[in-house]
Amino acid sequence: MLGTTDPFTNFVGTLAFWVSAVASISAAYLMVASIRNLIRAALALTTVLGGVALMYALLGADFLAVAQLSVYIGAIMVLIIFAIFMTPGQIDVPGLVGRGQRVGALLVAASVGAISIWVVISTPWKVRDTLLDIPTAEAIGGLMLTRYVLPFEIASLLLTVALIGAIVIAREE
Amino acid sequence: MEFLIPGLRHFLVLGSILFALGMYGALSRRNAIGILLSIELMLNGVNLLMVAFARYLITGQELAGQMFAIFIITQAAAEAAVGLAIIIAIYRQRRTVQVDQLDLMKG
Repeated sequence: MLGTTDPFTNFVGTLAFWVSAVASISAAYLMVASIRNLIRAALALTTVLGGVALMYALLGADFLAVAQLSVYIGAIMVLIIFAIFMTPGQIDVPGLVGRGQRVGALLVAASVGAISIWVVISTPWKVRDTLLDIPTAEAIGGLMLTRYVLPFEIASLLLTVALIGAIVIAREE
Repeated sequence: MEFLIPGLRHFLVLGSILFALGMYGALSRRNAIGILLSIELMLNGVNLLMVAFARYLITGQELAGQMFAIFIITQAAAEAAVGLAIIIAIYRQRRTVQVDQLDLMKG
């Protein structure tokens, strides 16, 4: 909860931000650059997801932090680890493309990242410093059934289609 | 020591770094499941930007960014389910998930 008037809360929030930011970035770097084994890469990604959930909590998005924990770490990561186990013989093979494509990928990713960082630093954002210190779950629930009711219904339809599609595709003939 | 206190730009830079790292992973992995992992990383970077904007920017609707993030999480769940199902179906037929060996449509 950054931006409150209590200095101790702000100090703990700042500390949590830096610890979690360094952990997330190093885990993400290890995951894409040096870990070959897919199970370890999945565990590194779990670290990043937990760090992002903590960032949501620091930003006052309590509902999203819980949703991140339950959907990403609870469901998607389990799904991915199942898929890794269901494709035996593929875990430890050298997981990276050839040198030429790696250099190209590095070039593309580095330029995208550099442009993005330059833009977000140089833009004069109109920042509001006070924290809206409200529980967001109730407000989000209200918005979902009023202003965002059409995207909400489309998302439910998408989930149903994905569920049926996943079963049909992965079923053995 | 003013720059140590996290503000909007700190979260935006963090999200951008996660997105760029995910992009590198998605372009340089050979294993299809590894590519899917990297895409999840990119989606998380974008989500972090959305929530940071929702928290810090002066807009009419304070929760719009969080709603976007929720819909992205929903879409990521659907994408992971269908993507992994396709990968498993491919593995069953070809006994590999290395994307450079899946060149069936290469002329």
